[in-house]
Amino acid sequence: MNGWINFWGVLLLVTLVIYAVLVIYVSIGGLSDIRKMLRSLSNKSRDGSEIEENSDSELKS
Amino acid sequence: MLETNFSALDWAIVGAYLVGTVIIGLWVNRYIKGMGEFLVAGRSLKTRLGIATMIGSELGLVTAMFAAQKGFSDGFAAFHIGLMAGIATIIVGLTGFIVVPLRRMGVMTIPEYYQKRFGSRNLRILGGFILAVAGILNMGLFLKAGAIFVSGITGINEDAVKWVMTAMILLVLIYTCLGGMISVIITDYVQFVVLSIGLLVTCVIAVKKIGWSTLVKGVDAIYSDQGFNPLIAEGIGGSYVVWMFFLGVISCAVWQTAVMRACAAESVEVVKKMYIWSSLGFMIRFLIPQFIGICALVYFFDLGSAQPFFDEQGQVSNDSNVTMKAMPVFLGQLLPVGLLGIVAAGMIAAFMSTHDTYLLCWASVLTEDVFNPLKSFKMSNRQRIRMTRVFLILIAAFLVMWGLWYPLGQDLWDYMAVSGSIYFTGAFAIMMMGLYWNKASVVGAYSALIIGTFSVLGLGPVQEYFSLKEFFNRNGIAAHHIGLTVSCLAIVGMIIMSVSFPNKETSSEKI
Repeated sequence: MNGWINFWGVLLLVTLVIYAVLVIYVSIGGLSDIRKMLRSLSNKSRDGSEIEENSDSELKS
Repeated sequence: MLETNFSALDWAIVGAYLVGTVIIGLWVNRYIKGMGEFLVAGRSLKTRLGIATMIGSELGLVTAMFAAQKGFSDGFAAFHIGLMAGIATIIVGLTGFIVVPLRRMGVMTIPEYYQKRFGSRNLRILGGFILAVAGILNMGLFLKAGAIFVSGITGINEDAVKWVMTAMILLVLIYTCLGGMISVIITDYVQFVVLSIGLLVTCVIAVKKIGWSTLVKGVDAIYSDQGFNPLIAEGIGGSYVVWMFFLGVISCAVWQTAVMRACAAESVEVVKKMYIWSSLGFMIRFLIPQFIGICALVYFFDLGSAQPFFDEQGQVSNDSNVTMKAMPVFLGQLLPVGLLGIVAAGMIAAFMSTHDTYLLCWASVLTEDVFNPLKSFKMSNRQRIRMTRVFLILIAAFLVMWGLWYPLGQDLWDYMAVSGSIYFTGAFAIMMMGLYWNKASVVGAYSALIIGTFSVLGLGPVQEYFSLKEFFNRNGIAAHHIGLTVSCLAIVGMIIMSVSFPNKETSSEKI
């Protein structure tokens, strides 16, 4: 049983530490990604997005 | 009423957070130009935001509730669920299993893949219908779990909470109907940040208050070896661990909400990176709430029998509605004012975020994979968006009814696994064989889908309806045995039927 206790304890500790680092990295980087996503969406012309989005029209032909 | 530290300040924090979330949804409406933006955010998702949104949609209030309940019911042994999920996701990320070929095909939904791969519109319609039914049933008890959480952490009456939750569903509908996937991504990001920080701090406070050695001794006193070793047959058992690994693969590679994220990624490379990094999230979404559930178990055990979670003999309650309440009640007593509001706001936002993802997902499947194909793809963009919004409202109405009516009778996680398996047992066979075996045929795919629906026999009320409950109990057949058996049968059935009925050169159903 001691083996399992140590295993779960180490697993919990290691994942919490890595997760804390990931949260900081993604929180900061995610903001910049949101800005890029919104910029990219606002730059897309209506005609361009119409062509890209309706892949079903290709399926029909 | 159970004691809680929840105060007016905490209510103010929750209110401000929810209003802010809705404002974001309304603000991004300006970016919606067509179905591509509405469903997959114009395929403009980058790695870091992809990771945040993928974890954000999976680390929800409902996940926290069922995972904490598992920690409360199984002790440290419950950690195997998170471990299996993490291993499965990292394998999918490294190999690109299923998700990379799917992204390359450029599909938006899994039934759309059925049509592209097998050339059958009817297969897409049937697959879409089964997927939507299973998915809607799967989220059928989200509202109930949310109500139990709010009632437990705030201490308000459970009946009053139902009205609060219904109001929250309405808020979700407003910003999902208007903002589509773009608002879903941004609100998932905000929720990921707030909830992750809140949960990490909660773990630290819980360990400081209870102590690691007290936790270990407490679990040992309550569950003995079974509380640590998941392979003991009298406890969880090896077959359940295998089922959890299979569910780990399904959750990240076959479940429509995760696949939608892969389909929204900018490139195949981004898909792989998203999965490798998200593997940690898929593990942590179980580990942290399970750990809080374990802390609640030991905390209430040490308080004695003067509370509802244990019977007079000191045994953990068998009532799943009671064990689900342990985690929020524990948080209400553990966290200080202010931090309690932030965690509650993060959880409630997570509840909304999970709902928006799932509502959008199933509504879009019904539109794109059932009704648009039925109308020979003649629906305009405007009609498709309008129909998706109508389905959003209908599904939300169904959820309110189902959440109030359905008797749970088993752990929430097991209910969700079984209801989801109605779809994913067949879908896994079709996707794996369809992507990696050239001879997979449309008849084989139909057979896999139909065989998969037999997973519904894992639900308690269905077993009672068909008078099978006693038979299953007598022979030691649990829901996960049924799920694993049906999964294998779906694969075998697909192989046999594909060999027996190969695709013809020309088919009238061909696209």
